Amino acid sequence: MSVPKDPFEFKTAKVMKVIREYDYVYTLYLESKERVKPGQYHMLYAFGRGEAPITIAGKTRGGFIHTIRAVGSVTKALVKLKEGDLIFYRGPFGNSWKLKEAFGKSLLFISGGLGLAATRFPYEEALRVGKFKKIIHLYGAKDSESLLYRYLYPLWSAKSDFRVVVEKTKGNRTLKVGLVTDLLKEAPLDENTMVFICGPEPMFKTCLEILRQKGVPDERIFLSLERHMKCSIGSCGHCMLGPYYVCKDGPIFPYSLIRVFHEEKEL
Amino acid sequence: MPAKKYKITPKGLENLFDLLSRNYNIVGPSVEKRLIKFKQVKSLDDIAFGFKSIEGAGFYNLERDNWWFSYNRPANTLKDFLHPGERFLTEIIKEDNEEKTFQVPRSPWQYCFFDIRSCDLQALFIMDKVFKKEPFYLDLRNRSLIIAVNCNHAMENCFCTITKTGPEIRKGFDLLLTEGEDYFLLEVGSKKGQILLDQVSDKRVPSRGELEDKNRRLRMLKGEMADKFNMENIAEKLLSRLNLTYWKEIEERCLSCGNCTSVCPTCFCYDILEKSSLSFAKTQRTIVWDSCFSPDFATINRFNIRGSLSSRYRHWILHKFVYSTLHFKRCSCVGCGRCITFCPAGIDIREEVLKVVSS
Repeated sequence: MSVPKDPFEFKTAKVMKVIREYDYVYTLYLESKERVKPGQYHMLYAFGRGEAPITIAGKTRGGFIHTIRAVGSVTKALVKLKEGDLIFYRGPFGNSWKLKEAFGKSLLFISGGLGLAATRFPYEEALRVGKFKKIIHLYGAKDSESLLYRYLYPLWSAKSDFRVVVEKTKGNRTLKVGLVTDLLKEAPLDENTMVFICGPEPMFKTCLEILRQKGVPDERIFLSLERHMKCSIGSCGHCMLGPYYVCKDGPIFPYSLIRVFHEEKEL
Repeated sequence: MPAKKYKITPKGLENLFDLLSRNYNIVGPSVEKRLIKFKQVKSLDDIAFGFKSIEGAGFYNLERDNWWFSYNRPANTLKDFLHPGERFLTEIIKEDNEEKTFQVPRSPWQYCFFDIRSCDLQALFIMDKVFKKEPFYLDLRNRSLIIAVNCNHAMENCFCTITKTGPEIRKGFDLLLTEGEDYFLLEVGSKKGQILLDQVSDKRVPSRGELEDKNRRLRMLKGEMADKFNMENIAEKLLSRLNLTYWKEIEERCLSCGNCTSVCPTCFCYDILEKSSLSFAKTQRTIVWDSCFSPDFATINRFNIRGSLSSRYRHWILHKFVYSTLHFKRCSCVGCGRCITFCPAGIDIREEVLKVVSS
């Protein structure tokens, strides 16, 4: 058996800028020459606190973007980074969204809350490549204050069918009030539409029901799953969903593959 | 090429052991606090020869016996050495606000695992696949030598015939020992083993009768293990019983202590901890064993995926009998019975699986 390179060795990246999206959600721009694919994630390290798996939200000139919600000890330390700081990370890990398989077809992205961070990269990539029949993106947030990447909406709306909905509006009357599932119900879906979903579990479930009613088969629905990975190489056992290691077999799964295990409680 | 076979006397075994101790850190079963355990040993006297463990569900005792290798597998497993319960991974030092990392150097140990039984050897094959990306494990494993031993007896908790992981050892060893009347049959499994054996004096070619004797003994051994459950289509049967209602009953007995996972030779799950100095100038990343029975094993922030005990027990069983079959085409329960012996509630994995598949 040949001995591979140590998978626990860190790489370094320089923080180019940090911007606050809302509340305690921040976006980090990191300088790196790493080749990353949409859907993959990095293990970002905070000194003395540990690592957290964070999805790659997109590419930027000379690096990549991570959007982090500061809720645990690691993420709280990560968002305190300043321009010019060095950050340790491992990765990229995981598989990617199957954009190539969708060439010539229509795309539907459904994002809920912070889930937009996971769908942004494939969405922007799809807009850039432009080999799709139609691109629809439905995004739901909890209120008008908690909108992620609002500075990109004009651009996105111009290039595709991008719709936003909020559960509660705080003053902003121009926004539609409701749930992302309401948008989905009225969305016109082409035949052969590929669906990419990332969002909280209840949203997932309702979306799946509606999609099934609309006749979208499970093979064309792709989910980005969230688990707390510790090793990211499929040997620590923390991220298992049935027989799948979300860290290396995922985080993107066609729903047909995980359906049996996803429908069962606490698996 | 058929494995070369020799016959050595107890004196030849001593000779072999001396040769091993010159080049290797020998790990073998030894009696410690009335428990047979794998630990580093210096001489043949340290090996638990002439002892036999009497085991049951949640029960363990030692007895004297008149065979050399009369005991079965020890209480602990080889993962204590190849995937230790705690090991440093990286050290990060903060100097002038700059962080520097230091990878921990390779382990200096060169192990010879002496007296590995069929179940533990099969468990090693699983671990090899799980840790195929971890240099620490692979490096130690590549440099280690394996002296396997065929069992003489089966005890109450052995069930390797059911999981098809024994009792006969066929591959994966450097040398294989089988105890006879007043001799040991030695089979060579690798070049490393052959080189070693060439230096052993006092070896002879075994007679046909002596080779027959080995097979007869192994056949007898198979009969000693009770067929408590049938492994046929076990993965399919369990997969069709995923619903928690099949598993609820275990909550009344299982303590969720994780003893079973720490003595299991194929339980590999671990966590990575940070150990920081008080001044916060230095931090060590440490790998520690984790158990899927610990309540917060599958949490994402405050959300717990496997909150109920029955779901955690189900995950453990499914990982052994179903997921592992899907990953590696082999069941990762090797039938060593350690989880039965060391369960404080005396839960027998054979009975639990049987209950679920026949419900």
